[in-house]
Amino acid sequence: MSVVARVIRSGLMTTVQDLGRPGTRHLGIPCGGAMDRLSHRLANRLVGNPDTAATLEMTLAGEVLQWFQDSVIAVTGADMAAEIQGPGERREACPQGRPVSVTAGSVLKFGVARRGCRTYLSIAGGWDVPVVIGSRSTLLRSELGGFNGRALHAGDELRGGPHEVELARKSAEAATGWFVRLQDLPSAAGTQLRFLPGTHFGLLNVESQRVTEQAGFVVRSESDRMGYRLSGPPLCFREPCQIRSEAVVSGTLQLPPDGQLLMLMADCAPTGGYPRIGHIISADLSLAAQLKPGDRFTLRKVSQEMALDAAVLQERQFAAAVRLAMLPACSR
Amino acid sequence: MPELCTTCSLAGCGLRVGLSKYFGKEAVFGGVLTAGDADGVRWQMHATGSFGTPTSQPEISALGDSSLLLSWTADDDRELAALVCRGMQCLRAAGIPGVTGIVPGFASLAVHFDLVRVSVSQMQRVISEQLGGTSSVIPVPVRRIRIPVCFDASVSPDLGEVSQFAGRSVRQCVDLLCRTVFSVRMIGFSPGFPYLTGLPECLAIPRRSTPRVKVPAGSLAVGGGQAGIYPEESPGGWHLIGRTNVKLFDVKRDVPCLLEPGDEVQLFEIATLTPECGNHL
Repeated sequence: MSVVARVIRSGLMTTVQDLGRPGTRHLGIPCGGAMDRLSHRLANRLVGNPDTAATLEMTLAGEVLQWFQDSVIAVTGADMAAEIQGPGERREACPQGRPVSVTAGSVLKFGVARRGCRTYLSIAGGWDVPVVIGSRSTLLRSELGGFNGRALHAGDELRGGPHEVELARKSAEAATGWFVRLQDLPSAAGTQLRFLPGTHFGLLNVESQRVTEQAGFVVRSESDRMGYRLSGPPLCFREPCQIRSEAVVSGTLQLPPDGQLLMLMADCAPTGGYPRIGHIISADLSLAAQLKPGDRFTLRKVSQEMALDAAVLQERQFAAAVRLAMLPACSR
Repeated sequence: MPELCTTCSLAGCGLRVGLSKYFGKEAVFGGVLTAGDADGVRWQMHATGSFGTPTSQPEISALGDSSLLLSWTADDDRELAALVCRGMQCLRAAGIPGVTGIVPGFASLAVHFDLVRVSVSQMQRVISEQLGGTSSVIPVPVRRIRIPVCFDASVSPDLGEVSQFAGRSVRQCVDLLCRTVFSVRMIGFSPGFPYLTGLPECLAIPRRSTPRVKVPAGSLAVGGGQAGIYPEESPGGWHLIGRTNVKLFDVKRDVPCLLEPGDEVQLFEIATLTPECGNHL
């Protein structure tokens, strides 16, 4: 497939992502994939792609892209004030949460994230990079997958189209006056993340257990796709807690000896050696992925039943939104 | 060139180990699965294994809402390894719908699944059934992979210190390492990095007090009672005692990882790292 777009100016850190490599974690390969899976999947569905198609994940500030082909795209996730500059210098805002037609010769411009941290850009047919170990997602630490194993640079040429899509053109033409938004982005007022207690939660001293739910935590700047370093009240165990390496997952809250929590994210190693005091529930991981350094949040302990209900509800809302988006305009 | 095999007519695998002690009373079998030419270096893979039923049920706990952690306890570390490994093979063979990954740790096994398809409580039930039933008796060969290692002083900066710690000569240490059958307990730290257990106690030196910023790819290292081989250049806190030119992880291969949890590893000595294999070192 020929070149669809070229990067004129790169964002802060933009990588190609899909749903990652869940099946090779026993080989030491992180699962990886899109941090905000909900936004990634929605971006794909809006242009008629399967969930497994690759999108671009832009972090904090996005790219400026020169477009060479007529395409149907969708933008979801953080609001980076995207703008389409037509061939005739005509500028218009690029709406989020619905399919959008971009004509050859246009420039698509993303700015700085006003709310949220990560924006997803899909194209009908998906972004095309080689599949490495079953996935197109970029694993930066191992320089593996994605666009040559790295974040995009100015001058990079992007290709599209590994997936068959029929619906996209029609839905883009019909897409006016509506958009899909599935989650509220983190706000200045604060965000709440729900967690399930981990194996070692009960080993925290009473004060630490109490304060986990009452204090606020702030995402520190030394945070990336592997995990967030948090600052909050120092937590400690009743007695020193040493464990041998075992499995961790995206969302695991680890407590290293310095008493400040780590929240593991998509690119975390499959195993870890720090005690696990909790796990962010699956339904809140996409929201967690939209936190940026400096953002504050609180934790609320929930039960397995609540975690399952939240996941099922989220999946139902996703399915309903996608169904609605795919209806012909007249019957919407 | 490695010596020829005495027991299975190809490779020098005279060290077949009867694992039946850990698995049950089934027969031990042996034979060459495959031998390969990776980057111009011969490595060999043998099957030496046995089969039976897992001897105890694990304690099952939740790891978040879409993973379960299965933990075993045993007096003997090798027995613990065998239990984890058996559990992994058993659950893999069962092909449980909704399972997205099975990841072993030192004393535990994580089962990751899609919670919209199957809930934590349902999965817990299915796993207990699988591990408890006799239907889980499936013969699984244990692969033994022989890896060439150069112990020359130029690529083993810490071998002298390790030999002092062990109170033996460097030669004695190398012989001991090559006689040892290691097992891959888990793969982690970086893609393809094997945590090898079975290290003789006299070589169980603690980690270095200051980690190295750069450890060359292929380095054989010991630390904290374990051995490992660095697949790629990375920082590392273990003692470097040799180097192999076999690539443990290569995304260009159909099967990128040479080793998997449950494999056995035996080292054999080579005099030099051949130059044609040096491009990735």
